[in-house]
Amino acid sequence: MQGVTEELILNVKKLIIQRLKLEELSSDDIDTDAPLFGEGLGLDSIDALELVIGLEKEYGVSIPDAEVGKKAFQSVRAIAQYIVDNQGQAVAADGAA
Amino acid sequence: MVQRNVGKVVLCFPGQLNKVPEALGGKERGGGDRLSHAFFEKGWELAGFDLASFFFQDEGEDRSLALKLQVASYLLSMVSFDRYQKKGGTWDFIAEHSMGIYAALAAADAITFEQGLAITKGIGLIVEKAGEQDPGGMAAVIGLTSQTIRQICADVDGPLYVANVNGSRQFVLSGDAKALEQGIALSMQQGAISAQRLPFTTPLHSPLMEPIADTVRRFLADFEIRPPRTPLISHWSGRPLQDHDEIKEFLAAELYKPVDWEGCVQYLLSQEVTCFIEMGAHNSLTKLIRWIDRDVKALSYGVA
Repeated sequence: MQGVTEELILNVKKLIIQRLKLEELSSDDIDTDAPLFGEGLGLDSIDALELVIGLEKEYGVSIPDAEVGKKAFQSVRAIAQYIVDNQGQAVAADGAA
Repeated sequence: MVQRNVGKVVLCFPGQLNKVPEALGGKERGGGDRLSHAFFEKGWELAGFDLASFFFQDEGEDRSLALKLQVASYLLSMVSFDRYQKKGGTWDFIAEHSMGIYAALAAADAITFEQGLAITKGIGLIVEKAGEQDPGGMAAVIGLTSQTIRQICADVDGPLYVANVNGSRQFVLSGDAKALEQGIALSMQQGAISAQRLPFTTPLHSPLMEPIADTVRRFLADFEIRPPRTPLISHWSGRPLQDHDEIKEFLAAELYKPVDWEGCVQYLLSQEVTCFIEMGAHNSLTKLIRWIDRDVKALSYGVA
């Protein structure tokens, strides 16, 4: 889990709360390693779309398909890792275009 | 002149649930753990369903699952509405999504609770029979654009239609079983976040359902429907449904016409609505409204 900072984890939790309008939750209520979908926070595919858009806007990383999304959205930590692994690539792709 | 600096409130009645809700007690919780409310006592009896078999049956093998879910959705919306009303809740509009029209009509006092249940079950049976004769289905597709989803419908071998426009990237497809499977596969290939079958054995809200409309019209002929007391907004025209004949025709035609939920919400926003309250056990409409306009208040009243 190289490169994932506590600050990034906190920001991912804030992004989830803000995008999904979970005003009743604070970042302390979200377990960093718990599943986000089905159990845990109980998110669904409509929430997933909100998170995809949120990640694109905030971090410039895109989720190209459901398979990637399934892995990236396993937990808050998995999202943070996905950002670390993919942030540079999005910039490079923009530059190439 | 004093102006009210508060926006208007709309109560939203959702369509059919996708599974037996927790609030009713799934079979893992013993099945009989239902909500205590007079509507349930009366509801199950009037609908003629045995509660134990409703919950204990294997959902995958239950041919009447869609009908039972429809009745459960009606009852849960009515319980939610009754509780909201008894707490002194107020509203300016009533809106409905798909089969949410039955509870919406009862809430608008256009029909009684009992009539609503009879209509839910009666139309449900006609739809179920149609599904046995010509099986089809529906699937929710999340993440693709309108253009892509319409192209997918054109590309599959067989009839496939956009049955719901729930938002700019939230759609429901409806069609014959083979075309639907192809549509799901193509949606995933095109990068949908999800494309999932819904528990319907019929291609609702598609032209494939048009042949049953006359049966529904005949079934509705004897029902007395009054003008809604609150403006009741139609899910495809985004305009109020007003008289007896118009409402009956809507009940028949909505089975073969698509749902434009996004258009309905946009109309309500243009009418100074700032608060959307979903009546039922879930928050599916609430999440769709969040997508359409992030600045309005959208919440689910729930049934607890």
